[in-house]
Amino acid sequence: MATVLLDRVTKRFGRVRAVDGVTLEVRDGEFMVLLGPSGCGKTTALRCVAGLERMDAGRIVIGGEDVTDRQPGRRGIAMVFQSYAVFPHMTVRDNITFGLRIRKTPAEETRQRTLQAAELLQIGELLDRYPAQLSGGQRQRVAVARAIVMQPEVLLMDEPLSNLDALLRLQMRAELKRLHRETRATTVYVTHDQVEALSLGDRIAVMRSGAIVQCDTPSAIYNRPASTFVGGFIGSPPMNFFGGTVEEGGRSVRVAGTVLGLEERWAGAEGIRAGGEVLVGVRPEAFEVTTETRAGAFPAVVVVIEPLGGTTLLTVSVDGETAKVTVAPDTDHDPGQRVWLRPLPDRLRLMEPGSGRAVIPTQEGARR
Amino acid sequence: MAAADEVPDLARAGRPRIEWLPYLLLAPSLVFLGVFFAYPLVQAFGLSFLRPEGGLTAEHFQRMLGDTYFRGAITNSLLLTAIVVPIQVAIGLVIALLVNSRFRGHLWFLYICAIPLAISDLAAGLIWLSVFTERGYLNTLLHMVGAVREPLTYLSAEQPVWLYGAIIAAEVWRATAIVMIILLAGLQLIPRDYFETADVFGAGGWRKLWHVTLPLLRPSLQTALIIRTILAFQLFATVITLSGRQVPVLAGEAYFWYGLYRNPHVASAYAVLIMGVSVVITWVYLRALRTREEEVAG
Repeated sequence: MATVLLDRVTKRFGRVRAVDGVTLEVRDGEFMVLLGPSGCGKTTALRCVAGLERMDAGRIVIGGEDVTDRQPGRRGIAMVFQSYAVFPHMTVRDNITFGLRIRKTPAEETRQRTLQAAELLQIGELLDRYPAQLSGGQRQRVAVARAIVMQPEVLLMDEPLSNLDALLRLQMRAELKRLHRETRATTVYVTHDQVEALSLGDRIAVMRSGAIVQCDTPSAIYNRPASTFVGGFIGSPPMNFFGGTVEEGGRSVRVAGTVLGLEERWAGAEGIRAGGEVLVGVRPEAFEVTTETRAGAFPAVVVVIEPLGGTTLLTVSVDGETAKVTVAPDTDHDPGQRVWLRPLPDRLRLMEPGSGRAVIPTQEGARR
Repeated sequence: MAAADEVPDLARAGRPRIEWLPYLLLAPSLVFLGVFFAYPLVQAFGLSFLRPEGGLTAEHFQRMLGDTYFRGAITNSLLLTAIVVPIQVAIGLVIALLVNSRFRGHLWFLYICAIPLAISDLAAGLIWLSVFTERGYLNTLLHMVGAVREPLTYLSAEQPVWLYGAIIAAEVWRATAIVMIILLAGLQLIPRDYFETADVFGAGGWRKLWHVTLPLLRPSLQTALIIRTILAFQLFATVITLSGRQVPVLAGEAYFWYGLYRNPHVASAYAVLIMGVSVVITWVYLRALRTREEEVAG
């Protein structure tokens, strides 16, 4: 196990900066998720850690040692590829032992570690099969077993679940989490799936255009997104943003003609001044929905009702803008119905309209 | 009666409708193969086994086997194939690997290596003749650097090593490119992830070649070997240009029996022999290098 440090890593492809001066420290035994839309540079960053890309600038430090100029095979890493890359001409056993054979591990140890890894991934019966005789999910397990049998200091995974069907993905997600708990290998995991990131990561580094825009625990990323981009990218449906005007020196904000009281911590925050424009960010589940007017609630019209089983999703129109609101499944709503939405004051976030950056409330600012 | 209408007509559904388009698209190739390959093949078989006045006979084969040139022809054909094909595959593989490593200028390298593809075997023979003949480039060069005073004779039966060497050089130069192209295409079909996996697990260049590249390249190696071996048995123009009949080969004998002795029956016997040997060798390759069903990349 080891820490991983990406130190001002830059990788260009022609004129495009795929990774642009990224610095990220992954703690010993941590499960770090690199999350972002396609083309944000997350896979390139991972490949820089693996040594599969030659960096234009920066260092990679693994376990305190600068490995920037080392070959991938000499970095103490193992990797699971998106395509699995399970060798078709080798049996499952030969695939799993591939790295051990290269390292000339003694036969008995190889045998034991192979059985152990196969056990852990529940592919013990498949050892003599060829990959073409396996399902996609089983091949995926072989790829993971091949990586963990190396007992790597650092395990790298590049979208390992994206080629599986939805149900299998759900299953494997839990398995990967269990596997990490059992092996405690420092893991860097790349995905574009925010649910995967939230469920797996000890921390998530959200990337956009080659840079990390926020790196924090899943709950912090979800509840306190650092920008409108993070708020919009994470969470399904994404965070709602309403245009508002600051009033009473930052003690309230006016949205859709309604005055919403703000918690005290916003008053002295940077970017909050009377008469200033702000974006008010509210998660779909962070509203109290009523059918009658009340203080701190703004009016909306129900447009679409989607029962999702566990919850019901309302698409509403607020002053001509669309917003998504989740409510309990047993509530009665009709299209065209007028409702009042009261954002829960402690779950409301403020963003600067121009930059999209989050306004940091005073206590949070002090806490950092 | 409405219910009866809803029952599908099983008889009609059971008879599949014939889709004519595929056959139509295949027709030109089939006609070509039929006229220029299947028909001559049947004819050659007929000529080699039939008496001119009718009736089956083995006398043409007996005549072929008893011919003074036969032993030399079959020995030379086998020997040249056994020497030339491995050299071609080895060099072709090295060039393909080099090109596939995408070093700076690799495309120019590829184009230059592929030039012999466009040159006919006769022309290739003439090019190498101009190198090895008494007043050829090799002697001129050796004379210029003062290595020899008198021009040496290479292409004579008294210098079998030189004679053989010249044929081998010409054949390797002429036909390595096709091996290289087939192997390069095969290499480019192997997903990059396999090589990167090998990198991550610490396999160096040789082990990567041995454990990953060559096994995954096996179908292309098989194709290249089969094509090259079959064509090596048909080796003719380069040998004739460089050696005349000093180095008899099977295809050359077929030509001489047809053109010189005006005996299409014995010529056909040679052709059938070449085909028989080709079929056997192809079968051996297919068996030895077969990719098992379960190993096919899925």
